[in-house]
Amino acid sequence: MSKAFFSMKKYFLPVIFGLSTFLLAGCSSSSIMAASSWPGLTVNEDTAYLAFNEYVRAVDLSSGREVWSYPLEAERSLTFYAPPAIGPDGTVIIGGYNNEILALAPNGSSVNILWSFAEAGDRIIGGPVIINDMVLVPSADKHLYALDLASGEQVWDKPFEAQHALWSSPKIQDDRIYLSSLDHHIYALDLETGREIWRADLSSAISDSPSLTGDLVLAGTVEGILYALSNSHGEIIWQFKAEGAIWGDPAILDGVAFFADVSGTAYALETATGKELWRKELPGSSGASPTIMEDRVFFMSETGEVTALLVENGNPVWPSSATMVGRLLADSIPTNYGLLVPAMESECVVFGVDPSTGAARCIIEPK
Amino acid sequence: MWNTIILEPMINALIFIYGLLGQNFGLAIIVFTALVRLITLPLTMQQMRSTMVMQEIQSSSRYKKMQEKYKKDKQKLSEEQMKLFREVGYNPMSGCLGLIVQFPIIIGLYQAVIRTLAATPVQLFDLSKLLYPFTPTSLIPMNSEFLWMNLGQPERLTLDFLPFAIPVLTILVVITTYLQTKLTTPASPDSQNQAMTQMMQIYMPLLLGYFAYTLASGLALYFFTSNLLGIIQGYIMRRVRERPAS
Repeated sequence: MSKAFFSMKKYFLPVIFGLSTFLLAGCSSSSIMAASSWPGLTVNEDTAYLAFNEYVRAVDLSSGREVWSYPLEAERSLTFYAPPAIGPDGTVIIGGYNNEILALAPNGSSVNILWSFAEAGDRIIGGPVIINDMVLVPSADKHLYALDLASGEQVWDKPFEAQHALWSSPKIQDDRIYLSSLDHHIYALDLETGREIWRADLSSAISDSPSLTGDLVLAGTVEGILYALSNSHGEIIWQFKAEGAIWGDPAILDGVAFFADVSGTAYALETATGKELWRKELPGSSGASPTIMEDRVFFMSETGEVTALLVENGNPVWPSSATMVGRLLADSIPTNYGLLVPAMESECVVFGVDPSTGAARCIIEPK
Repeated sequence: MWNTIILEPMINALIFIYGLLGQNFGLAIIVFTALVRLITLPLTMQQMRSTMVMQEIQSSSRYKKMQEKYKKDKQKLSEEQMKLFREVGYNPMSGCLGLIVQFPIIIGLYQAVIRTLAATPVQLFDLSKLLYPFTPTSLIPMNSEFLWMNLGQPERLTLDFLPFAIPVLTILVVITTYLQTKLTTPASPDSQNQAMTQMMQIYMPLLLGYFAYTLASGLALYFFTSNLLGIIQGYIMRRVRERPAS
């Protein structure tokens, strides 16, 4: 055996070297160079705007036809994941992993760049939000930028600065911005100036936007606790411990908050008290926010299933979950064309799911 | 199974070390790499000892004469080599076995550093599934700032008086990879083996240099620390081995 081994030995090091190169390259490409986030989807009337990998695309939902795409030719260094924001005049605001924010003016099958903002120091991961004549853009450089919708100029004296990256969109109610951060805090800011009104330390990272209902701000943490804060001063009204980390923000209907966790459990809680109304097991981990359509709530599992439960008691609507090939981590959107479910690591980027039957078909294919 | 046996223990240990070291992820990577190398020290020592014995054998006059004498009879040459190895008590498998056992640990360590950095939403989501129930989630996400670097981004040092940024870690990774590869790959009198060895000595530093230049600097820090410890270990072992002869 030793002799045979010795004759093989000259190949041993190159083989180990080649294997390690392959594994290292494989690990790095899958973890860093490939899609590093889920698709960002926005729907405005009959048009879906999809930010995923090298392109932002507008797709006419009635025909399935791509209306325009930006950029025309893919650039390896330019990727998009933040859901685009659509202005009242059709201006499309997009943020990229190249740290840049662009305002696009669609013109038929092409787009013109109205302005660009390149002062952010890190990637734009959370979706921009348009409010009045202002665009709010969270950046992984810890700043929330307020830009003039028409010119792209900064509106506030200085951008708001958190202590860690901002990965989620801000929410707005009245004259206040509610912002969650990976620095464990929920912030309430003055919409006009960007100045901090209050902050609440939740002891763990908050990856998605907070949900607003009445005078409460709801936010789930990586520690697996859903908090209800008072929107006036940020004090904790109640808290609920889930089985696993909470990623998606809760969906709220008629005083009930619906959310799911990484352990694959779906919950319904009374928003006023935090009392658990029901909980159900899902087929897999959940990272997306649930979506409500009429009397049913839809939960996406990372493993590719969409589960429809009745709002009232959590009983399943379909005989079994609708199954798609891919990871479902992005928020889905209810439309007249069904529930639009973005997917990653799939041959289809956006599935359309019939809310009555669970039948799924591909609406947008990868470019 | 890979996650349960290799990745999850490493990731959770790395997070604990990060917490113990005042939430300094750069220090955590350095200490964690050193700890893993310490645990695998018997294996790496065995491998390096094997390499050094092989180098000594190859530089002996008997081995060189054997190569010359049987250069047209590979079968006979192989038999004579095995005879020589038996006489000096060298087992050609001993070095390789150490390398085989180390291999998953090295890959696991590399993956643990990447995954714990969690610089993107998907990585952070995946990380949250790999945590033990008792791992403090308040430590997540890591503070990725270390010295002048953001460990989640490729490293460049910008100096006021220079018009360009310097990839310091990349340069250090290339130099230390070259030195370590040179220390751990034996010189061979066989021209084919020698060509392969030389190829590795050039290709490996360039490859890791490319990774260090383009990927998160936390990885480059891991490469550099690992190489540096490997070089120090190799140097000490050489000195210890040379001492009786002098």
